[in-house]
Amino acid sequence: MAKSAKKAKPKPKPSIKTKGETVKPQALTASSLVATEAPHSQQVNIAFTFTGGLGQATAVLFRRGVLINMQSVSNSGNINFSNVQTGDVVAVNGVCAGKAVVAINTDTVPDSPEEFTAGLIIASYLIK
Amino acid sequence: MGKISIIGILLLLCLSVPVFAQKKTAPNPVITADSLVTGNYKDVLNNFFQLAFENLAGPNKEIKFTGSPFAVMAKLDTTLLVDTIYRHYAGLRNLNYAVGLKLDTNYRFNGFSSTIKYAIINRRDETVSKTFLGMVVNDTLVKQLTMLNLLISANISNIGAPGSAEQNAAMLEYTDFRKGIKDFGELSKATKDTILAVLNRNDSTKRLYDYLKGNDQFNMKKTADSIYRDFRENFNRNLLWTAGVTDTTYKDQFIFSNVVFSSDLVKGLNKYSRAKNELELNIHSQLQLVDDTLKAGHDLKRAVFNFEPGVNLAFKTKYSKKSYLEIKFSGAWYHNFSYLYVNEERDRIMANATVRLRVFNDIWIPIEIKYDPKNGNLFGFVNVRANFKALAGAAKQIRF
Repeated sequence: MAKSAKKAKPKPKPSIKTKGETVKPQALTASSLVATEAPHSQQVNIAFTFTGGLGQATAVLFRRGVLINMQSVSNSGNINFSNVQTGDVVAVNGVCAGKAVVAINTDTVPDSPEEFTAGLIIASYLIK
Repeated sequence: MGKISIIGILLLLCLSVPVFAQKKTAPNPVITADSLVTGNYKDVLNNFFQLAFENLAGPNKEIKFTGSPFAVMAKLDTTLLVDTIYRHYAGLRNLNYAVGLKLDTNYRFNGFSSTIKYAIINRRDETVSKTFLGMVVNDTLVKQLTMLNLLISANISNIGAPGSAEQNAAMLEYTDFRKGIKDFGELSKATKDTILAVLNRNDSTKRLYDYLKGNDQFNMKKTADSIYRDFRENFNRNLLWTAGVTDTTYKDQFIFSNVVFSSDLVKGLNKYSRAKNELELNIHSQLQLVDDTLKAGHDLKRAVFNFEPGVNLAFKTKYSKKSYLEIKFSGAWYHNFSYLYVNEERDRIMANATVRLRVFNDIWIPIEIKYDPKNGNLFGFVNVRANFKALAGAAKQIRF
């Protein structure tokens, strides 16, 4: 029993090359929905600071048109996305009753931090 | 005495200097909503600094400085404004104080005055209301705008090779659109077509698609701001009930000559209506203790109760929704609990009208008219109220 289970386990692939392939444009498949690590993957931190009133926001990570990760904050704090790659887009939706500052710790288009006055937070950042 | 009044005025001006100086560096979101609220509401509760010159045409002039302890603290320590700390200071934000210098006809010192006021019920403070935030994000149009943001973001992430110039250009153009720099009609044909295509593909964004299709003037930022402003304005019509005490001293002794216990209730009557103008219920009551001048020495033995229910109608501009004219009609009932002087009545009824004219963004001129129907007397008072936001703005204009 233990033997057959061992056989069923897939062989680990030689690695780097396969990981590198994830950056190429590819058709949407079931595997596309999984955020795979690439050599140039990075952990990205999005810091939300609400002042003069409460705020809430949701950050959504898109890659090749597919939603990869989504996290929310209901007060000032950080959201961490691991394995973020060049060309990924972080969309930010939210609302603040005072002011809000959204700061991403990597180069983006447009540049961050971006400040929002009281109202809706609707933003989108392309990871460089 | 003239010297004292000059010193007093200089002291008030000195108090204002740090406010101007720190205005440039320290953000003060506490006052962002101020220009939108009605003058009547501002008279009930302030969350900012206000310098008022009252009763200019009358014999008892007053220069009054009104503030909130939290506004002062936040000027000194801006970390208090961070939401996680800010929410714990609701009590301090609901507290107002005022100190004033009373001047006689010749602008000579005529006593000090001070006021403490507390908002017992304040359902207008949207800055600490999760309910308010929930109302905004669950709005149908807000959901469509946020959905548009998600759909376009997903679309841009799928343009060309990762990090390509094409992808960058698409993101920059979309950024101009979401920041309101470009109207929908000013976008490139490709971007317009993409936006319409993604909106048309989703049932939840069909309304926005229909609207955008025939409206090149659509501005995403202005639309978002307008939705939020409507929510905030309606929220600012919720119930506010304050209670406070005001006292005045004699000019020659630091003994109270006048103590007033007061209560004010304000509530919007046409909340969420499509009417541009705002109708507000205002119930004011107070018990005033004053010196009995027929008796020797100083005392507070004359007690007069005053109950004044009224409605305030604020006329607002069409787009910015700022009130430029306010008219308040009220009735007033006065009851004297003490013994009566000659020809004095125990109960008196008055009809009042107050007209507030906005002369600048934050400067109001209230004109009060009181009519005694029984005796046919008509009284008038003119005040000028300005807050430091307006003065700071004026100072900035001069500087540049």
